[in-house]
Amino acid sequence: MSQSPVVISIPERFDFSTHKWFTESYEQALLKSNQVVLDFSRVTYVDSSALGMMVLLRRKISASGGKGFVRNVTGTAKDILEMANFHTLFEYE
Amino acid sequence: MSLENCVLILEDDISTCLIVSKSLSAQGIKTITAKTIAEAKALIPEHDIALFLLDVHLPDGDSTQLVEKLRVSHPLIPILVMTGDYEQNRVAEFFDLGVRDFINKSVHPILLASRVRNFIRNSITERALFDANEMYQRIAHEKEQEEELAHYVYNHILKVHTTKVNGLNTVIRSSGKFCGDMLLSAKAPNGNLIVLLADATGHGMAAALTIYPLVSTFAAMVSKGLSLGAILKELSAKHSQCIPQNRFVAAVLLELSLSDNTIRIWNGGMPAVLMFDNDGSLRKVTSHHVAIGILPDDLVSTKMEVFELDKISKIALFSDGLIENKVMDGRSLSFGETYDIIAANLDDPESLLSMMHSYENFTNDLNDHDDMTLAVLDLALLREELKQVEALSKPLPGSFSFEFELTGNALNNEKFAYNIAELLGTYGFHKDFCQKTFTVLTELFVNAVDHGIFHIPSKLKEEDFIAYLSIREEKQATIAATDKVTVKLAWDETSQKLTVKLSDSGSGYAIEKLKDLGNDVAYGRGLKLITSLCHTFSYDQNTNTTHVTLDY
Repeated sequence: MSQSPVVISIPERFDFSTHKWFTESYEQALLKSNQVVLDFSRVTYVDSSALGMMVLLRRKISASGGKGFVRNVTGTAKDILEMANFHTLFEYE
Repeated sequence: MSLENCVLILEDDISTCLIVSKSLSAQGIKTITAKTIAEAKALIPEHDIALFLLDVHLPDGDSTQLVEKLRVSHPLIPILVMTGDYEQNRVAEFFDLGVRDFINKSVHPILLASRVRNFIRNSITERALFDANEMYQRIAHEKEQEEELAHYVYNHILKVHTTKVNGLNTVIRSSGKFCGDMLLSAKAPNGNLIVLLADATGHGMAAALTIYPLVSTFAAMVSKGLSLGAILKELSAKHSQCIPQNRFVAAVLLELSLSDNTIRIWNGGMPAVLMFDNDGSLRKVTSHHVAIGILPDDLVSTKMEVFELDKISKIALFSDGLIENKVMDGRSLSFGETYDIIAANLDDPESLLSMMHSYENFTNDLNDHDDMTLAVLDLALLREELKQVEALSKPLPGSFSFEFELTGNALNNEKFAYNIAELLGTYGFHKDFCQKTFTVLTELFVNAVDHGIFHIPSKLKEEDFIAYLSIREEKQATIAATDKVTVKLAWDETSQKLTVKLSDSGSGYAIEKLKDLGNDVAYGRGLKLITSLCHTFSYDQNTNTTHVTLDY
């Protein structure tokens, strides 16, 4: 059963410093839906912690039978997600 | 001065004067009386007079001279003249001077009083009308001046924020002095072209005013290099800060990226964007979102539609003024029909706009036409235009190097890599390059701190991120003043390379980890990122220094 997705709008810097906020955001989101969209519109900087956090999120989404999406990822952030083969974990909108 | 309204009676015949003043007083009308013109002249400035009732012949002259003076000093106060039969031939002369009416002698008291009262009543209405008209004139004049100022600002903003781009043809037809539509285009630092077509609710100055904040925000955000989605969020935030809640702006945002070979389109409440493939087939990118200002900015969806740039030959964006309320041969046109007309006539946008204007249904709402804006993008020309931008990228500065030494709690500064990346941005490096440097620097730094100084096993981050976070927090709290990381950044202008050297006071991370590179399970994502983003990577175990280079 598909639920209407919840969008998490990630800030400019998606790195270690975001983890608290990000974890809270997706825990909130997962209470409402098992479809989560990560909106990368504002994201400029990404590091490997972001990838780690996305993997955690992906595990939670899978556990609830849902799906994760990535929206508007561009530039180096896009390259980094692609290098890490994240298109196998998240669907690009 | 008596503030009470009264009628001035100028009459030298005592009995007539008495009859007249009695009959008026009986009707509740106050009177003052004068027997000579001189007496009247003395009384007039002392009283607030509602009506003049004058005899013609007076001991000190003819009242015509007084009438002339009164027309100047009391232009709105009615003058009635009491005449005997023998004076009837002078009626025309008095009328010319501005006398309102005549009363025949001998006077009929009740008739006289009613006429006087009527004239006073009419003159009050006239006065109110005169005042209202005067106020209207003043407001109209003020409005004209305000509009002139607004129009100046409007034109100025448009001039400042519109860049001429070869291949982007815009035609505008405004229903009034101000246009509630606006088409803006700007090139982003990464060479992409961003176009905004916005249409505010209503028209005229109010509509133009609704759009102003978006205009300056648009230009600033594009030049800052924000993505299309981030620009949309900023536009929405700015709109809700500045504009009342009942005013909206429908918009199409479009981004052409030559490097990604993409066209991104966001359509919020505008007519469909018409897009022609290279083989001429047409597709419509319809609105999937609501206009800016309807949803709170955190709920604005940035979902875009993405197309391949090299498959498209032409794009047309237009405001609803082109498709709404159109009539041909007495029959209302459906949107489908108007889209077909537009699609078939894009080779001559000027004539198309005139044609759509001529289809406007004039009978419906008189002068209430909507503004019309049409932008036609010729992708062949635009691709050439965008290529030139790529070639014209900014020259870089000379060589430089910085060395940073972070000890103790300074190692907990989570903004270190970010600030370095932003610093590089100020030297004119491409955003992409700054982003890469950020990632590489973050990974090197975190690696040095986590593994070199905190001795957190590198596998933990992969296997149990939460456990990793809690250990990290613990270690951060107990960091020693002797713990140290040294970072050296050097940019060489000739080789166009950025060298980063990083060493830590810890025991260093085991070199055998590096041998695992290529295997995608056992080693850290961080190291993989570093090696894929850097041109060279080496680690000197003796000095515990990592050395990487990034090619520009």
